[in-house]
Amino acid sequence: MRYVEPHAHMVSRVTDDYQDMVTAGCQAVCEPAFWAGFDRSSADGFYDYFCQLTEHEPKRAARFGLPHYCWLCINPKESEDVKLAEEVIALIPRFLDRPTVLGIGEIGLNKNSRNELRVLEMHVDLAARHGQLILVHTPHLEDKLKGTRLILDVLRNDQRIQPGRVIIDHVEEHTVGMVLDQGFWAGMTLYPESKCTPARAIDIAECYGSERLWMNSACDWGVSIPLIVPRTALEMRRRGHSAEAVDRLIFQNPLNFLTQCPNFKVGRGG
Amino acid sequence: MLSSPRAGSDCRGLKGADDANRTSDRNFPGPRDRITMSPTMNRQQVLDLYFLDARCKLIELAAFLDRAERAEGKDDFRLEAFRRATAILSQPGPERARSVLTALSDPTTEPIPAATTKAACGAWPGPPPTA
Repeated sequence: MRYVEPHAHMVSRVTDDYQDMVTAGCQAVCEPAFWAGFDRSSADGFYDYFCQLTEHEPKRAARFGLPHYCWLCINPKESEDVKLAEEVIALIPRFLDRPTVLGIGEIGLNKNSRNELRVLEMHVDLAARHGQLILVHTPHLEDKLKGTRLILDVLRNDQRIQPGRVIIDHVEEHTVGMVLDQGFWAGMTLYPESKCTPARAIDIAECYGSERLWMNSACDWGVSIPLIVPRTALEMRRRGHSAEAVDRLIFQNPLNFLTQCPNFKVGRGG
Repeated sequence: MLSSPRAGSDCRGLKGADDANRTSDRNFPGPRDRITMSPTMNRQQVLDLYFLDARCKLIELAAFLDRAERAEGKDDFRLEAFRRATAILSQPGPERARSVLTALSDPTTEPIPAATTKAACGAWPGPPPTA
């Protein structure tokens, strides 16, 4: 088995997780910028975080032969403070030419507020001006449906944005259709307590097709499972899906999206 | 234009989402690029693989409702939304998961003035949608 983990917050994980992921067949890991679990007090905190994502974490992963890539932004959970967001977004261009940066993410909405929406528009403008891929976080639980609609409105209203260069993450049964039907990629996040379970994610792939669909663990500092993508692959095999179908969903699909960024250099030979 | 689910799926009855809001053909792959991943199991195999797990979760739901009702105090919007959503389970049709998620969702369309918390609670505190 081979797979790409397209969404994992490895700065919050222990080194054993890297070993386990490589042992399970992980070929590359991609880390979107994230909320630390507490609000950072200044843009300087984000500068250090972006250095961690682009310098330190790739070295830590490289000790196990695992390519590490990242996405940069101020996460929607910290977007209520627009002034701070402006300062952080102003920092990002100086990191965009670093060799492991994939694009702008995970941007999006959390509670669907006006300020979050304004900061989302600022991020989308940044991505468009610099020709970057976009990774979008959709809100949790009761806020997801409304937030996904608002996010799609923002993306659709910016004529510079090509849907095939945007992945909308954390989709579930009530949002996946609108995302795929508008030409965007969709990410299914596999969580033990919320979002999708492996069984539901496979249901979604069976119902909506596996094109422009990927699966990720989004493992972070909370309850999450770094190996849940390969475990879901095993669940697919239990259902009788072919090794080729599994490979397409957990390896080839992420490659198809991510290789739109020239920095992503994982070969199709695995 | 595509409609959900993708061609070749056995999940009949699902409807395309937001038909009126679809974009034009900006980088849109088109129907010929669809990749189907059709269900592989018959109903007997689904039951063999998932019945015990679903049975366990069904009992958990029942036990949760018992536990909540044994406890002192009043319902809040979460329990009311939960009860409404459980009624969806007994309805016919192929979209129960989507319907439950929608029933627990904020149905409004305008951004809120400001975020006063970061957390979601799992149900929308507003009035239930009218039939």
